[in-house]
Amino acid sequence: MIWLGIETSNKPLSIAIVRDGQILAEIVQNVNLTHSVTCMPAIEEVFRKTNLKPADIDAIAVSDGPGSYTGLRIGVTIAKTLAWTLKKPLVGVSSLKVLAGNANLFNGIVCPLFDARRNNVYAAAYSGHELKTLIPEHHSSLEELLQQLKNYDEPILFVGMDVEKFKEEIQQALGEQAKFAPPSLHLPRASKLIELAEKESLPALETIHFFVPKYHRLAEAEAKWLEEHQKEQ
Amino acid sequence: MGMYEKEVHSLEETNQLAIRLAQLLEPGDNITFEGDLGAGKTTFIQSLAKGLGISKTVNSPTFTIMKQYEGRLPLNHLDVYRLENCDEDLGWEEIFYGDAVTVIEWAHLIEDSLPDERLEIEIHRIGENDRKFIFRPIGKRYERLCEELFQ
Repeated sequence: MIWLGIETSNKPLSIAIVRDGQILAEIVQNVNLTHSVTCMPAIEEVFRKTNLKPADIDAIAVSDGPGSYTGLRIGVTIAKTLAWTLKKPLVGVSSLKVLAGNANLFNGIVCPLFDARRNNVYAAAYSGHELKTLIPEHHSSLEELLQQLKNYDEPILFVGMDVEKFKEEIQQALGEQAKFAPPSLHLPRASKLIELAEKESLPALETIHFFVPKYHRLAEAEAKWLEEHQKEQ
Repeated sequence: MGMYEKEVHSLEETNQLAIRLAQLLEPGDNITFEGDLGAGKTTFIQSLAKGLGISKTVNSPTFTIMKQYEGRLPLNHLDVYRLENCDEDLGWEEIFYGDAVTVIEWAHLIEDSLPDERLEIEIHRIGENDRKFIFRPIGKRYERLCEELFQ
């Protein structure tokens, strides 16, 4: 079974081809958010390096959010287009879970996060090893996230390149309970994405058309509607 | 809220104003533009881009909604004309609160999504090459910017 993995959910870019659980080629880079220019050439490069043709792959995995709207749209659009034209199943995996996967050997809780600006984050919390979801992927203020994490007794490992920005606040709230992953674990890897996608069942080809990114944030209009609705009650 | 008015009487003067503004801009600055068709929003933004060291041709992003350019600072040029009555969440956070300078034409159409602090620029056509600019800084950063620009 040959997989193509596409991860463009934030500034980093990662593309991989995995055959029967073995990584054949992987690109991981962290330059500018220019996935519209760099993603397709990177895909061509892994095909060239592995001497494979797009028709040789059996399935496609893509990080489906949360993250940068622009990044997600590019990755998901490319993945959908390839899946549909090649008639191969498409599997989406949470971009936070992919990042958490870098640190899945940690004994405790793994908390990947992305900066969502204005002191908000996209975050989730998973158990080490199994990567069971403890706090689902969501958008909240950093403060709210830290409040939630305080309820746990285990050490919490923070992963991701944006963690540095929030380090002080995290340490203030959680003290010794907070651990920080080394920079080598900060970039999401498409091979990890594929590893997680392999655990999912392959969806039917007809579902490709309905595949959309999961932004995990309410649109302004939805948020307003909810606010007004709650007032009425 | 302070307000600054400036009349210019030639294209050259408009260019100078835009270039001086460009020199004072910092990462994360947001500027909205209002003015009738032909008032010169795009012309002003083109000079602003030049002032930011952008050599590529800057033209209206009405169809694509946003174009991005690389200069001394990155520039996001938005024309949200086509977004009237659009309820979709387009992910403004990463645009308005990133490292780029963002300029927005027809900004009032996405009023609810705009950053609270910003510089509003209105352009009025008062003659063939005569324009009246009204600068409205909202927030300390933009008040300072205008003080420096008009000192």
